[in-house]
This record gives sequence, C-alpha cells and structure tokens, in this order.
Amino acid sequence: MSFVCFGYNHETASVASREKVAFTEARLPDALSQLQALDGVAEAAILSTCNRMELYLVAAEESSTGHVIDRAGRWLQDHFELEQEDLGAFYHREEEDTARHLFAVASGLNSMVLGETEIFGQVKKAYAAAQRSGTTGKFLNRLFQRCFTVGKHVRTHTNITRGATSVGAVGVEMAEKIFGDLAKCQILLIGAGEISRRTAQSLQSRGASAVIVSNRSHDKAVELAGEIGGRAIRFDEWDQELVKVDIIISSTAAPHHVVTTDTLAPSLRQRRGRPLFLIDLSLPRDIAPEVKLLESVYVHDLDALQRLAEAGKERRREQLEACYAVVDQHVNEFYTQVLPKTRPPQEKSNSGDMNDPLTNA
Amino acid sequence: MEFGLLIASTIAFFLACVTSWKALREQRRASAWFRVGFMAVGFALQCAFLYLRGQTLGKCPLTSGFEILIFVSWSIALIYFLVGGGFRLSLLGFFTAPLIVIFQGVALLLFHPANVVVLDPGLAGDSHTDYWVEFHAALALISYGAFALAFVAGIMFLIQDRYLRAGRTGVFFHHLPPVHYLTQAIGRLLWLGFLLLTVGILTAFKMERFPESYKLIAIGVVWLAYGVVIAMRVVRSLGGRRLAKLAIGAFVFPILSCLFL
Repeated sequence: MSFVCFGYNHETASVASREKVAFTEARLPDALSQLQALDGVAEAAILSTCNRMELYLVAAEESSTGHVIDRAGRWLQDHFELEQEDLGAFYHREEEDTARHLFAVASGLNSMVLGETEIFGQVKKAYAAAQRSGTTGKFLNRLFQRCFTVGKHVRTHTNITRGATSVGAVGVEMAEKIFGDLAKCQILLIGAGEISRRTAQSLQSRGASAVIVSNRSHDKAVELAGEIGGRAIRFDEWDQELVKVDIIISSTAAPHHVVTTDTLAPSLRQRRGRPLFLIDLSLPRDIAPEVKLLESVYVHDLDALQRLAEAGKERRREQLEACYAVVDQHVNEFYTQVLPKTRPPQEKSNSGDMNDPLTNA
Repeated sequence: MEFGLLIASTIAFFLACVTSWKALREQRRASAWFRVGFMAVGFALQCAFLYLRGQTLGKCPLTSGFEILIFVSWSIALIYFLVGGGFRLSLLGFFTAPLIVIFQGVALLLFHPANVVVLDPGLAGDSHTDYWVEFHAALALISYGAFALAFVAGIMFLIQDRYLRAGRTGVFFHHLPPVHYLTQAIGRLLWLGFLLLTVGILTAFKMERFPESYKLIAIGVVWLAYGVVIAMRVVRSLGGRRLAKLAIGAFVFPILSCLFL
C-alpha cells in the first residue's frame, strides 16, 4: 500500500491550464469511478478547486507508485484531451510526502492566500464526494480524517489565519476593530468604482446591512446600488447622510478633496461621539489629510490599506515554520501510530468498508 | 496566616500578568483561561484575607491605609469579575492584574505587618459597630474599583486608537477590543462608580458619628471630578479618545484621596 498525490496548483499551472483540467461536482462521481477502476489503484479521491486539481490515490499492494502515477497521467490525458506538454505543470507526491502535502493543503499552507480557510471546506467536500462514490477505503479514510484534525490544530494553535491580506479584508478588519459587530453599521459609497464595490461587499459579508451609493453619474449609482442591494442618492445629497452612516468609502475621480473637515464638522456633534471610519480608495485622495485629526474619526487611504495587507501576508509567512512543525508531528504520528493498525486492502472496489468506523464517521 | 494569604494572592495576580504577557509575546492563543484562573485564585485569597482580618478586628477591615489599599485591590478584582465579563473585553484582565499587583505590592512594601497601625480609633478596638460606617466606607471603595477599571479601559482605548490612527498592527492590536466597545465600557464603568460613590456619600448621613470633614472633602472632590467627566460626556457628547483621557486623568483623585481616608 502506498499513497500517491498527482495534480497541479496555482503555483505550477496558469489559469488557462487550470481551466482545462477541472472537475465539476456533477462529473466527480463518474471520474472517481473511472479513476478507481484504473489498474493498480485501490482507493481514490479528487480535490478540484479553482486553484488546484489533485488526485489522492492509494496504490494496490502489488502495484508500484510509478505505475499508478503513469496510469493516472494517461487517464487525465484521455479524460481532458491533454497534450503531453500540458502534463508538465503536474507534480506528484509519494508516501509521507503525500500525507504532508494533504495536511498542508487542508491547513491552508499551500493556498494562494496563505492560511485561508475555504480550502478546509473544499477538502471536506472532496472527501465526502469520494465517500459517496465508494472510492475511499481504510487508508484514504484515515488520511483524510487526520488531515481535518491537522487543519483544525494548525488554525487554533498558530496565527496562520490572523491578519487581513487584501485591501478589502484590511478594510473589514479595521472596521471590526472600530465598531466590533458590523451588523448595525451603515456604509456610504462616494463614487461607484470597482474597488469600492468590492470593499463594500466585504463589509456586507461581515454583516454591514445598509449601503448608500452616491455618484456624479446618478445612473451608475442606481446600477451599483441595485447590484449590492443598496440605496442610491444624488451626489449633492451625500453630506446629509453623514449623521447616520458609520463607514464612508470614497473613490471619486475628483482632482480635489471631496471630504473635508468643513464637510464633516457639523455632523460630528450630532453623532454624539460615535466613531466614523473613512476609507479613501482614490488617487488623488478624496479625503483631506486634516480630517484624521478629528475626534472619533479614523481615516485609511489606499497606501495604508495595502501596507497593512502586505504586513498581514508577512506575518502569515512568519508562521509557516510553526505550522509545518505541527504538520510534521502529525505525519510522524500518522505513520508510526495510525497506519500500522490499518490492514492492507485485500481487494479492489472495497467501496468504503462498512465495518470501519471511520468510513461511517 | 493573614499576611501569608495576602502574599499568595499577590503572587497569583503576578502569575496572571506573567503568563498572559508571555502568551502575548509568543502570539499563543488560549491563554485567557490561565490568566482568569490565576486571577480567580488571587481574588479568592483576597477574600480569605479580608475575612480573617475582619474576624480579627470584629468589623469590616477598613481601619488603616494598608487595609484600604487591599480593599481597593479587592474592589478592582470584584468589579472585574462581576462587571468586566459582561463587557466581553479581551485583555481587560491583562491590564487589570498589574494594577492589583501594584496596589497590593505597595501595601505590602510600605506597611510591614508589624507596623500596620489602626488609623481610625473610632473604627477599631471599639466593641460597638455602626454598620452604616462600614457600608459607607465599603461602597466608596468599591466605587474606586469601578473607576480603576475605567482607567484600565481608558489605557486600552488609547493603545488601540493609536494603532488604528497610525494604520499599523502590533502585539496588542488583534487582542484588544474594538474602540467603540471600549468607549461604551468606560462610560458605563464611570456611571457605575459614580452611582456607588453617590450612595456611599449619602449613607454618611445615616452614620451615628458624622465623618471628619477632611475625609468628606477628599471623597467629595473625587465625586465632583467624576461628576464633571460624566456631565461632559452627556452634555458635550465626548468622543472616545477624550473620554479615555479623562477616565485616566480622573483616577488621580481616588488615588490621592486614599491618603486622607
């Protein structure tokens, strides 16, 4: 019995290549069955996301890993009508390296955004799909169960998920450090730029409810408001909303400052000390520099947000060593304590051993 | 025995400081239980000390500067456990524990057990107990616990505010609560302290023997200082930063008043 991983990810393949080899959810059961039917393959699972496609295989007792990798490569070539050079983007891992790789993947250590947690759910889905198709057995069951333990362990015992790594996420993080719960926060968009839309959507994803959109071109404001479930107002009316809103995202193309102390001062007293968070995403800047001196007003411009996003990435990179220490510890335990208790697969198409508690977990 | 308990309590609060600081430096999570655990042990030992001391004196142990400092420390821990949890402010304990260590440390260093003198002959050694006196003194000092926590929350606010204004993140940034929550917490703690102190002062009128004027003036100044801060908060809608600075600055008055109590 040997573990094999065969696939590509965002580091080895371009978007164009990744588009060619991707499994939709509907095609997975068939693909899994075909994969398991290959000569030398005892168990199989497919992890297919926008940034990676990986086959996790268990070579049958009598087969070599080289043979399984070769068969899997040919199958992919046939399945997706790939040229030989397309396989250049593929990598393979064997034995402990497979376990280490899967544990790292599930922990977000192999992701484009280091430490992201979405991959954990995607690995779970991939495993569930393989279980439903009956292509997992004792070995993959144990490997995947362990990878979920590792993913949780890494997330809770290191700071790999801490700190925002994109402009939108930094905006959200700062807003949460100002207001806490964003559910009661109202957002005002001055200007209807793409980055404003994305930042507003990031805030909405964390609970911010009401969004007001104001733009020089009112039609564009109406369009964006419709898209993100907000309300459009005319450009000369936005200052009337200052008492109510908590977060202002400004991204106009104006050559002068749009938000000044004179604009804000009248509303600040009526806000009764409630904080106001301004995000300036335009160049030249929309918000006058002296605004940040006002009491209870916090201002961040594009530079500051990008700097914080970079710092967040760097902090996550610093955590890698600690994360891989956790991964290696689990790989070691898996090979010394878990696998020795597992019997080798006796026959193919075991369709998930019903007597194995892990299969039914 | 009594002083052993007090020393053990101070060590427990000191351990709470050390473990949480170490965890913060190493960016480790899940350290809160250690901190809360040590603080709970410290608080239990404080309670035991004050109980035994009270048994010895036959009344509430507020008869000397030493006891007042310990009682204020106990009040800070009491308000932290009773009210602090409700605010769900992470790191409140991290900043509160050192304050308690300082208060108890000063008490232990300045007042050697052998030299602990009874300041108020009317309070100690008198077989007759006026419960209004104890109620008055205890309420006043518990209000100091609330003011101390407002002071702590003010410091936390200024640190977080500095991070947010400078657009950078540091050791505390991810652990400190949002500034809006801190502003609310400071406001509520100031109100709590002010109300407790007001009731404490009013109970003085029920006492069989009215307190000395210098004591009333000292406590009156504290009441006035916090009254002004609260009035400014209500009337002028103070923002978080000014409120935090005032909560920190006003804490000088309770500290100084301890010299006169």
